[in-house]
Amino acid sequence: MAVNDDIGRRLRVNPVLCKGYGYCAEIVPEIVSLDDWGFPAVNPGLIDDGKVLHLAERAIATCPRLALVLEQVVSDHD
Amino acid sequence: MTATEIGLGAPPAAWLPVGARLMSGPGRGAGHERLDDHLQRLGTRPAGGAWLVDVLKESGLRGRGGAWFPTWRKWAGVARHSSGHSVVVINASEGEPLSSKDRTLVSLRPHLVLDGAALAADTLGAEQIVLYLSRGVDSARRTLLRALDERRRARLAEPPIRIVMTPHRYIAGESSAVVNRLSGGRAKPKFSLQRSAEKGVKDRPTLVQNAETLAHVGMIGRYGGDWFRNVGTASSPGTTLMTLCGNVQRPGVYEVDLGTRLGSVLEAAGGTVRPAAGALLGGYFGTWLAPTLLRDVTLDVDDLRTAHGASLGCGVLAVLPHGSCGVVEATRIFSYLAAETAGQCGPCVNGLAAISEAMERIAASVGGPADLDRVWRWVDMVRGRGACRHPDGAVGMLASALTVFRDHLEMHLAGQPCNGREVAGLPQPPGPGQWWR
Amino acid sequence: MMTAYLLAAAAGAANSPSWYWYATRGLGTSTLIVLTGTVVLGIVTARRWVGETTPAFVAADMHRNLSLLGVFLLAAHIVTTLLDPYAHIGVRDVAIPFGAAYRPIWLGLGVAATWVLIGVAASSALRNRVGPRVWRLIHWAAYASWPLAVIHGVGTGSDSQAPWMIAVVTSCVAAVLFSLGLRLGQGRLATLPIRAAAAIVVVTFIVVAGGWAFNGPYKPGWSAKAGTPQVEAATVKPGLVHPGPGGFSDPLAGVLLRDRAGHVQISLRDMIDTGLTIAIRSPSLNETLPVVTIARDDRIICAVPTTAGTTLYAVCGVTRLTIAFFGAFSNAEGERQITGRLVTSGPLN
Repeated sequence: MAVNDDIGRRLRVNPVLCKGYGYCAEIVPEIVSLDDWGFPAVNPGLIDDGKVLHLAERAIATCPRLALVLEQVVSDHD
Repeated sequence: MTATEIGLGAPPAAWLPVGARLMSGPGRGAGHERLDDHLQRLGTRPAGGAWLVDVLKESGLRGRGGAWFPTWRKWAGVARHSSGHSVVVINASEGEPLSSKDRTLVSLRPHLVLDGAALAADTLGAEQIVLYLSRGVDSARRTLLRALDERRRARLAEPPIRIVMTPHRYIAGESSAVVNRLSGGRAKPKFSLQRSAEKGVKDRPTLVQNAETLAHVGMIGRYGGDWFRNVGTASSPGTTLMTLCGNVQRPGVYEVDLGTRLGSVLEAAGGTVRPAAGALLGGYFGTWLAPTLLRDVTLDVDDLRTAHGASLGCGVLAVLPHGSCGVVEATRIFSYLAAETAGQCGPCVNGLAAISEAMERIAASVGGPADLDRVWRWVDMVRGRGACRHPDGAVGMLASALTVFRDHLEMHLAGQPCNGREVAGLPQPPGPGQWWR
Repeated sequence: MMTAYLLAAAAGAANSPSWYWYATRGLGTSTLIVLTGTVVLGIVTARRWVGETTPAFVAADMHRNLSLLGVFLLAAHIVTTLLDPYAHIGVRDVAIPFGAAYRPIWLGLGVAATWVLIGVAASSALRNRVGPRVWRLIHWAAYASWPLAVIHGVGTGSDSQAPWMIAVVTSCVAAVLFSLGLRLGQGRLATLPIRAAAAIVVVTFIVVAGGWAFNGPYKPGWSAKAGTPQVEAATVKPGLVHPGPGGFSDPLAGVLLRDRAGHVQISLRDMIDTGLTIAIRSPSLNETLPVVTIARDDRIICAVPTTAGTTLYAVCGVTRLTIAFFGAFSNAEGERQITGRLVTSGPLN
């Protein structure tokens, strides 16, 4: 029997779509930094700050590759 | 003695049926076991169902594709989303160049593997079974076509089984690459927030399972979980197939009781040709073992992980001969892995290329501490940032080499020439692949 | 019969401006400039041009904001075109390309460009539903909207031959070419074939379009060739045709346009003194009589009220004139040729 609890949301980058424009790191540097090749490294933790969440949504809208997405994190038990 | 040799290219050896399970039955020279013989030897398989998930849980069977993930949990994940349209995929692509266990298994015991798949189809409500096979193993394909023909003529109660060929690339066997290929795309990994258990081939719940794992299921379905646990350890029950290569007298595929000491397995293969300089356990994504460990390390999943940070992976044990250099070998393998990325993800493509270049310098003894610092920096930078675990596997193997062969590494950094480059250590990695379909 | 219709005003080539006609031309030009800016920013966004102090995402943001502005300007341009009585462009002509009475082909290109932009705007608004692949495909189509808009503007625009308009179009084309050149010039070796192919397509297009432009819209006589429903362009004779203080009587020929509401626009040219054009329009809201506009070589001499009927009487400066129409008038909607006669008491210069 699986029970899903919605714990929160976090920003995820689709590395296949991402081409390293780097806008996300400029818009929400709180959780995104760029590696040595200009690709984003996203903090895998949950976003608890409303302001950061708003900036993350802005980054998602600005990415020209549509490579960012907000993931609903669930914990599932078996 | 707990290891049975079924090697393909090896000279004929004495059969040791005691402890052999998957490979019990006719010897290697008999070719693929026919359906009649298979049914006569093992009996017909039962119908699968929800009960099988519980039995698999009891049995403690773990996936033999490299991840060693509990099989019952994988099936439960698919069952949760299933509604009669699931897909069962037998992953026999075996992109690991050093491994030949899967092609050996499907060539000699196809019906055992196919039984396991049929049991999965019953349990998960699948209406199709796909056999995912790599090009370049044409003999296996012909054998499987004959086996499928036998089953069709016998009108066995199972969904239609079709064979899909895939390019012989390292990454073509990765789960999401399998799903991608079977959905009409290329055999390249895909990023998704949903796992293939939920949305896989053509968005249907999909089980991608290694061929050997399904063979074990074929037997567990008949004999139960307790029977499976008769050999092996508590955390690693049952037997497993291993491919031994490199510095061993009789390289080939062996069925081994889990929990065995590595030394016993090497003995079954006739021991090493020259003194061992170390070994790679688990394939190209595996872990290096110092020569001193080669005798007493036990093939137990938990033990390997906690004591040595290692994993059995896809069951490859590649032994280095004395005189070869672990740093050089690891660099060769790493460069192959860097060339075999899908080319999709920036951190992996750039990171592995950068690391490879620095390691080539170090292996050639022209690199310095700055190069090594960069390598470690990039190893951390690359982990977890691809759409699949290719970069993780590659840097994991390299990190273990840099730790285990630290003294060799120091020599290289000091600029001392190493004749490991002349010695043929492990079989050379193949040249770069070309196609993706 | 004469009282059953309202005489609406129209002019020859550039006269009798309804406010909407000027507005739509101005808005069309503005839309082109803003669309050009949008395209340039879109091209620039693809490369990483990071300024010292400006974050790179600003280019992407500006591209989106500018495109929104462009959509509004385009909407206003379309609305004013619909409201303008001169060229008789109706809702159907704006929605379905190439069916208009006014310069059908070139107008149709504008309609096509608009549909492309609607697709781009819709897919962007729904980008979450549509998914990255589809969104990207539609966005690539946006590249097509810009050349369609430019050709539309040059082909339809009444101001095409004006120097300032030529300057605007040239700047827009130059800006886009420059950005494209930079973008195609950069990139990995693997993409070289695609970039080279794209460059060849662009250059071919420029050559073909340039050839068309300099042999078409930028030569005199274009408005007739483009399908402007107006008086056939006759060559203008140099010098005064009717010198002297006396009046004259000349045959007139022209077009009567009647729209669905019954408004009639008449534009006539003096067949002897061919520089002279006459336009008649119906009264506007605060007028009671139709207005006749007399122009010589597109310079307005006078615009005065006139009586209604088959013969019109008006006074232009000190010259009295009558305009008579021949033939019967039907009430059918559409365009027909008409003839008449102008009789004056003195010169019209």
